Amino acid sequence: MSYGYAGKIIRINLSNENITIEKPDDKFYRTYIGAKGFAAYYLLKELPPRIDPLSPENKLIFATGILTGVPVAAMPRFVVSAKSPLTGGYGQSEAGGYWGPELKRAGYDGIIIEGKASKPVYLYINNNHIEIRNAEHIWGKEMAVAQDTIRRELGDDKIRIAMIGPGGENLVRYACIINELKHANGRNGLGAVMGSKNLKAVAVRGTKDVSFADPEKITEIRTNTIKTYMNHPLTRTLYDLGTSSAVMSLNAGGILPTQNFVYGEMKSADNISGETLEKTILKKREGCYACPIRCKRVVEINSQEIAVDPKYGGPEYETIGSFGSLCGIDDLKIIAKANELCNKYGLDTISTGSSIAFAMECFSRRILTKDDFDGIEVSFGNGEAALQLIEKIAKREGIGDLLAEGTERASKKIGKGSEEFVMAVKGQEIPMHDPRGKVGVGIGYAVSETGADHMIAAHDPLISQAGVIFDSVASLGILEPLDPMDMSTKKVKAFAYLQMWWSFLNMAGVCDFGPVPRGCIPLDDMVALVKFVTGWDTSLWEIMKAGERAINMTRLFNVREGFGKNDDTLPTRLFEPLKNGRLKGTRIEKEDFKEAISIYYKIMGWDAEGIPTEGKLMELGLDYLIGFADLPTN
Amino acid sequence: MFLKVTIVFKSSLQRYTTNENDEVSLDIKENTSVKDILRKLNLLTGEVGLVILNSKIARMDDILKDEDYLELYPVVGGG
Repeated sequence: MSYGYAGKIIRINLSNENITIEKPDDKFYRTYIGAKGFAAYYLLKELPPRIDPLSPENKLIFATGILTGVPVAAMPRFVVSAKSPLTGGYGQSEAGGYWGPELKRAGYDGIIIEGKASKPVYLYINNNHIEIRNAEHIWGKEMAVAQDTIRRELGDDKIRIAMIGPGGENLVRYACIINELKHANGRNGLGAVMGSKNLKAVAVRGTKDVSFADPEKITEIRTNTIKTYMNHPLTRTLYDLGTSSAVMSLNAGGILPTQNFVYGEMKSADNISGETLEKTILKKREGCYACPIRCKRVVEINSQEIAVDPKYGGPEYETIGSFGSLCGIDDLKIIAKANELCNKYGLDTISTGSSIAFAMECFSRRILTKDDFDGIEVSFGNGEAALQLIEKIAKREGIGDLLAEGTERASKKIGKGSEEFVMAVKGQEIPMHDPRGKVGVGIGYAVSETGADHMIAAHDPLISQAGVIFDSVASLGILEPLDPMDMSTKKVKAFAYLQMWWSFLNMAGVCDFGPVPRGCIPLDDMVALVKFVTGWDTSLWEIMKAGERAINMTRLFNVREGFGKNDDTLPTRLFEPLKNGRLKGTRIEKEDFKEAISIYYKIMGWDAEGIPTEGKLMELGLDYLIGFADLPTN
Repeated sequence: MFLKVTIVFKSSLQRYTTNENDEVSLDIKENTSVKDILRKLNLLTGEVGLVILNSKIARMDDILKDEDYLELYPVVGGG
């Protein structure tokens, strides 16, 4: 009997409406774990090389992990994967909320979606019942309206729905997928892939139990976690202020991304801080399935000028950064409204805010004028302009059609030197953490298979000084604190190990805020949990190797798509000095950074081009992928 | 002879003070370092990510002078 996973994967072809169920064996789960691992396995196995991500040839995979739905903190997650229409490479985005556990309780670990429906449809999965239903009446509708309609017509308000909004329907390249109106598979444009398949939503209802090998021991770990988390500095802060607590710390440290990363400090940062959010617009704290940390914010505004609906949640730090300081905006009401609009329309807040900041820089340099923006003065600090641009992007109207392509493609069309201030890696806009104060984050941006991503590995400050946070990962072999700007072999190795750890969490369906070092659940408890859930006699070694396995698989995918070592870099601006703040004058030395990437390849067991060697693939049980990246010559 | 320093607890570190200003005044001996102060306040857990001393980023071994003004910020882990 299988523990921890449902043992079934649904395969649906939207072109011919075929539905089949596959049942991988236990060894498959133990090797690929779930979520990121599953998706990587199937995408490498089944996607032909160099396809158009918005064509029916792409496959969209929803996948939970072995720990998804386990009732300890921070285990609600699932991934959505496909070839990304934003980067042209491996696409992946994770989300929390309630959808993942519901799919598992319906009896499935994942869904592989192929082809394209001839007209808008949504999927309805209710335990053993799987159905493709008409979605023409909800196509074009904003998230809340579509969700209500689906729940009403299926007669069940407990149905969990992952869906796209107008953003995904209009194939905005950074459109996202959202469940419960506020939990997003935000990055990489998976919403556009879903839209390209005419798929509006995946609605799930599940009432079966998932069996665990040792439920009592799992309860013990849950009890310990609940006792610990309010006394642990990081998880306590996530409860109190959410991720928005980062605003004032980063600003004081000189690395709050301001005006498209030219500056690192915004004088009025306090207006958009977590503390101000709590005092002025916070309605409540919410969380995900079975998680007590409750890091999510719900905000409400009912003023004459701006109304923000609490059903769309509230802004995370990334959103506060990307629509706030990045755009020179210091009005929290505008930021809250921007978050609501992005959730309503299904747009990634980081890429949307970054695209608007890019537009603002084009305007400030007179590369684009008021006329190009349909009469709007798109200057830094103009909140109204930002809100109007979100609408245009979601609908691909006017300049919105160009900005919907992402900053890299937009700048190629615009020219006039605008390529110089595209803040993206592999075509994905960089998040609101400036590597000029923590270079490991920069290494993560450069080597991430999904383009710039700040959730690749724990950030440098967490291992930069002695204390409980540092101690929590000592057993990975990180034995001395390392300066945040250190790019030596020791730091790169620490980064690689922390990357493998978070890669495993992305395979298991675990949120990075639960386990150490970013959370409070010790490494030993995490290993124990895998044992108690699955019954496997596993170890930290085995699960770290699994994390490493998925990194190598997704790396190979990108090599085959034509990515090379020149793509593992940072935008030019980050090699230039910060222009204000406490780190004024600080920059990353390009040659040193290149050397750090080169060290990373060596440590990972890859060749000088960043391609996994045969030996490394053999070690990870990926012999069958030797030669995968070689395209046939004919 | 005692030196007097002022310490402000910022952001989530405010839960360590009961003072309305989140400000604490301390009398310290000469040759006290930033690290010594944090040890005295029981904050050497790694929770303090940034110390600003008289408006500049401080190092742990910086020695404090009379009338110094310190701001403590929590560590940011990303996400």
